[in-house]
Amino acid sequence: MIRVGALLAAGVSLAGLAFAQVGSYSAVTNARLAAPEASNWLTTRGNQMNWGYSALDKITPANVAKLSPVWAYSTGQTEGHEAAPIVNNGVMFVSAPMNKLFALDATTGNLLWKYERELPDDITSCCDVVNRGVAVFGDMVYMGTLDAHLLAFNAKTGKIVWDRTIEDYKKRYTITSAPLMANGHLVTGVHGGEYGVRGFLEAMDPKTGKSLWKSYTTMKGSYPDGSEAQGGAPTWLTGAYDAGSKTIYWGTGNPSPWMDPRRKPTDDLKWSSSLIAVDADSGKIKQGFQYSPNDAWDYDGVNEPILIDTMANGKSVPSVVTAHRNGYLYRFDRSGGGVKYLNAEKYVTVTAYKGLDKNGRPIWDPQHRPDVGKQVNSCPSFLGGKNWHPAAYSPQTKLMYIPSNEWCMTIKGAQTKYAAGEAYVGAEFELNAVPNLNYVGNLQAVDPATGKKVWSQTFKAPLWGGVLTTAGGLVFTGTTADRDFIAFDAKSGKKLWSFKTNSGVIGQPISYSVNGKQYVAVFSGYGGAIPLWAGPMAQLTKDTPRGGVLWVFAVN
Amino acid sequence: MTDARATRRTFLKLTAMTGAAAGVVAVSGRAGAQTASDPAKAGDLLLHQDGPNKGKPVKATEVKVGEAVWAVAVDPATKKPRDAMKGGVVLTKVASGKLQASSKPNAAGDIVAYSSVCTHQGCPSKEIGSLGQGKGHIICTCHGSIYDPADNATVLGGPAPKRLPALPIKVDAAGAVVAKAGFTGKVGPK
Repeated sequence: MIRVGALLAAGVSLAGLAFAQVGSYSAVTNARLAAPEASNWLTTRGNQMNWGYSALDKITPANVAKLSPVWAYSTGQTEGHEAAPIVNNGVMFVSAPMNKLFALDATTGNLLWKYERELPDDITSCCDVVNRGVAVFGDMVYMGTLDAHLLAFNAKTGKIVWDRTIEDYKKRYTITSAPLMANGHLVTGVHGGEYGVRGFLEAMDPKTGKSLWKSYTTMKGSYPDGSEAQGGAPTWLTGAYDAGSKTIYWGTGNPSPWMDPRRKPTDDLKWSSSLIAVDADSGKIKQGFQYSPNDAWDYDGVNEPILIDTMANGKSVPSVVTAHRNGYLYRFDRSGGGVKYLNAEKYVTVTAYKGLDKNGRPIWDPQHRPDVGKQVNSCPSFLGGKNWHPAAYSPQTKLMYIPSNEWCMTIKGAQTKYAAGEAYVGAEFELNAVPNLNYVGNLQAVDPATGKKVWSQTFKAPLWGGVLTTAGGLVFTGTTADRDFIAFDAKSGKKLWSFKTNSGVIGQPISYSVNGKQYVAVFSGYGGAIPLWAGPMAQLTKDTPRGGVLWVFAVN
Repeated sequence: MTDARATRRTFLKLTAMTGAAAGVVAVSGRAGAQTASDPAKAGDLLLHQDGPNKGKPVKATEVKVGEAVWAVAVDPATKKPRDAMKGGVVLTKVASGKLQASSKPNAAGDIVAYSSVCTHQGCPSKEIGSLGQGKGHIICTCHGSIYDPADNATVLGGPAPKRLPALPIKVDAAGAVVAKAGFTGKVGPK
């Protein structure tokens, strides 16, 4: 329950502007994060294992037709709204583009406090000025910023408790995703692979912001001499935490630049385009798997690792499953905090590789591998079979729900030179459709162990929003061109309900309950990478109106 | 967006013929909203920003069809840019007979010059594309905005919200390309 305090005195600055405060607030602990209550949504994907699953079951296929809006909140921003709200006992925290942050009463939508960052004028980001959510721990809320700071707010008042500069935004380091709490450490990644940053993970004391460890993701010796310093491998999507082995599983992005004539085919460029297993206490990279060694396609490996148990050789094995940019759904054994390749199956059209070898290493097809001055066509496009927008896993159906896209690209390497703050891509490209296919977006229900497709729903335009699945037997996601927020039957894929929102839905839906009433919330507010990068394919969403609104639904 | 752009483009083409549109240089000078802190002025030299001739004046003979020259506008007295951030210029030559009416008032023969500061996020738009829709056009390598050099840098694709402002140019007695006036519009993003 929330008790709204009195309005603060006038005269507060734009940054940290506060209207009211939270009367009572439940401190977030390691134990609560490890086993979150069904009523709450304490991390961007609902748990530290990135399931995107709500254990609430009041909204079902039988009553979802009655789902209707109970409140909405407009952010005033017209860029991409990709955040997942966080809900802790009736208090919601939701971030918006340009590092706005709102604390809202989760039952009424009333504003408790808000923060609007005064960002420098010369902020540059590759893929829109998005923020994908915040983290909560103790009585604080944590947000990474486009000028590469990490901020800690008092959850009750919105007052900034500490502000750490993580890196130099003038070198185009940005932070767009939520930090991860891992064994009491606050861990953040960084964005900037199109500008020649050097990727890293940094852990901090959540109380003070003091740095505990910092681990770089580019390795000397795996890059041509010296180029690891601008070698990319950014860590721009939130990882997962395995409390059992105290291991952080985190993905890394493309090497910078995309192509480089200094590279030999034997240069793997570790740990770009990889999944790394990191010791939560020391930051040591214990083990890794490289999806795309010496990547030339911009096939980032950042997509969310989902920690589940799967059957392998007749035994239940702790696993990581992840739908990767290169069009393969991967499965790894994570026993003992490691990352051992088990298998991978195509989930979209793939021409970039001939296949994968027994260790999961791609077998290049020279006809589809670009190089400096060499033009090829490859599928999927660099925007991936799936991009940042997270899949969901249901322990009920044992299925993974992947918001995939079918598209290809013409791509050619180009000479480029590093200059701090400037784009460092080294490629020219244009997206195009998969021949003889009349859709791009495809929401798929897949067995994560075998890759077997159980059902799919296709959409003419690309999907760019996250997926939620619930114990009520539902799957929720949104569309870009049609502006719909849709509920499907988790078992059959049948479309059961939809609501026409104000804009394209590229947020991450969540579910929570207050006083026994279940709610579903999602951001509608088109933007993100498609309008910036998809070229002719962006025409599919050219008429999608802009403007961010958080929609909250319930069955009344 | 596309429809609106097409309409605006048509409008500009029509008004260009009458010399009424902002950004079109009239005989007596140019329309447009430049200020005292213009990143370029009449008489400014254009010096190569990169390549083997870096720092040297751009000669008309060096500007070729299908290639871009990246330069910076400098005060002829000091040889320094008036605004290093906004004084970037991209030059190219349009194939004979392809230059459109919208570009002719600012061109020197078939050579055209535009601000190289992308109107989307300010990245350098200093290359000619070689594939797809960008082929033969000025491209920004940050997010793939495409500008048509033959049609007053109108936007053909990508996220740029508006065309690149032109830099009216002429060729001086020594064969160097120089500014005939300041940029025809606001340089860089909104």
